[in-house]
Amino acid sequence: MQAKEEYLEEYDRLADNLSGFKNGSELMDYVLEKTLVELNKETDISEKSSLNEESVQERLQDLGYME
Amino acid sequence: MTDRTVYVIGIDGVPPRLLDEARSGGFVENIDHLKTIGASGTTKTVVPPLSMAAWSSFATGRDPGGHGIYNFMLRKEGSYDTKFADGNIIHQNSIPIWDYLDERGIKSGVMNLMPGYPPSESDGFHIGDLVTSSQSSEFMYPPELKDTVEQNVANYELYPYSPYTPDKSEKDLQNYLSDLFKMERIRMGTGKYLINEKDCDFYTYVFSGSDSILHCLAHIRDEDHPHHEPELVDKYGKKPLELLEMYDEFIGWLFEQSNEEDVIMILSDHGHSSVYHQINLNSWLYNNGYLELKPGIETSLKVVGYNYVYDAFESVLHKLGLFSKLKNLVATSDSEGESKKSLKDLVTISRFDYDWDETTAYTIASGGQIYLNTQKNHPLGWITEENYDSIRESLREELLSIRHPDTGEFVIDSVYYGEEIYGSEHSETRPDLAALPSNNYQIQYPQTMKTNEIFSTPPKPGNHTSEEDRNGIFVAAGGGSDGADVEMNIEDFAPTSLALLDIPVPSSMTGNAREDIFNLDAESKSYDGRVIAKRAVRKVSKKLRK
Ligand SMILES: [Zn+2]
Repeated sequence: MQAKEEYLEEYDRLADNLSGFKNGSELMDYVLEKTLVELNKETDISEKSSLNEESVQERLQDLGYME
Repeated sequence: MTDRTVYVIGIDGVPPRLLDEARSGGFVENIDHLKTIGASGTTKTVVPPLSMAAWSSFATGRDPGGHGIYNFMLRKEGSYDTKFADGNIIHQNSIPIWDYLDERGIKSGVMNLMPGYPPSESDGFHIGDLVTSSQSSEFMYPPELKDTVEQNVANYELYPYSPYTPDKSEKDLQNYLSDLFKMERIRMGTGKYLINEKDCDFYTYVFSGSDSILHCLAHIRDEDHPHHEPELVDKYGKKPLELLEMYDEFIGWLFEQSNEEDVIMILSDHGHSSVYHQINLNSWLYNNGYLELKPGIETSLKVVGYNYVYDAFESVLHKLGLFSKLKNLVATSDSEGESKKSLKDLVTISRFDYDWDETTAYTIASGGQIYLNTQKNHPLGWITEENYDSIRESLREELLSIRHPDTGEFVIDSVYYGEEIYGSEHSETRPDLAALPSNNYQIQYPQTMKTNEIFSTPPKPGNHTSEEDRNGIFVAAGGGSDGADVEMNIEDFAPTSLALLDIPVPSSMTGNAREDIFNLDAESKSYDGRVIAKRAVRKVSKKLRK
């Protein structure tokens, strides 16, 4: 993952305040990795409602209403 | 009771100037004919001019305050959580025209009207709309209708196309158009088949291809558009007119098979225009001190993470097909949905990160509606009746003074007060302000917020959110209809249709039976309780039959 140079500084600062991270770029990689794991989990979004919310969401994105 | 059948045909999103262009180009001879023998003019729609709220007002004869469907995305009462509008909500909150007809033992046929899923079980038939229904769901009532349509017409596909955007290829554009036109041909075939087979006294069909094509092709027709593609103009610039020509063929068929008692009405639920610029309202509220994020390291991590890192891995998410999944999780999860929190906490700034104790105003959906964090309607609201007016007024003034950094133009054209445009029946979830953008601007609510991005490029070249887009088309024939340049209100269609069928107009409808346009003797009556009783009967009987 190529992080923009100028934002690494921000990440470094955050990493200093969070125990367990060597530096900003480790923090950045961690954020990305966990995100991908979470996204790959099967979700239960349609359980609560009879509406297929994922499909509604896609249609609304196609209409330029959501992004 | 009359022998009359009332047909109301919605052509989604057609602005009056497009119909004029089609008329002068000879694309819509049948509509033109209806215009000469009947009435014509415009349809004034709701604020903001969005299909979900507009068609709900059409079906119920009430302004959005009367049915509570203010937008595609709705606020849950007494909470900061949201939900999508659907067919259950419109029936819970209000009474659509088909329920009044059902109570009188009159059948109605409805196709592709928002919010159509789950479909109404009132007498007749009901085919869900393309936004709230999904192909695998039971979106037709009665359920066996799906097979009947497939056997006698074609497979009814809700959403068989992939919309074109300027970053795609010409081949993609051709596929999009061919799939869209095919979808509409099947809808027309289905509509004709059901008119021939079902004996309904009221039909309402909505063709939504027109809205899609105007979203996707606006930049081809508009040479001033920043994404204008001049090389596509000759081949594709007239496609929206050709689509209207196809609908016109259906109108011609309808007129042919109707008798002299019958009434045909044609409308659009809003107009359409090119959009060049977008304002992200939640980011604006944040940057102007109206919306606060939770203090602490976690939120600052996300502010950095979302604004910067997210840009970097957005393409990775796209490649893995995970991007829409992420957005969906954020859009639909509740604050109680603990299991989903970890993901949101990692990357996105959404309403879950708002510091409600410090937040003054927020938005939950695109279209410019704003809620004040009032004590009365919010769990952590702090705005009292005493300071409400002054806070609202200063926010309103600030909104009206926003200028686009590149063009210097005012971004917001008008700001309405909630009570000015919406009745009070669903006032607990009523927006406090509704801002409409200037022409060629769009007010957006990205589900996930980039705090440093107030202005951006709209996702589609065309859209409908401005004051001008509140004007749709109107043409009618039969029922003594007469007059040029008349202005229907979108709430007038339900009461007018009932009166044309000699049925009393419910006093709870805020729209009017238009005696000035049609030959009517409308009687107003209060009988919602009967409809509610009929619904209960239907419910109990259904259980007993099982
Ligand atoms: Zn629409």
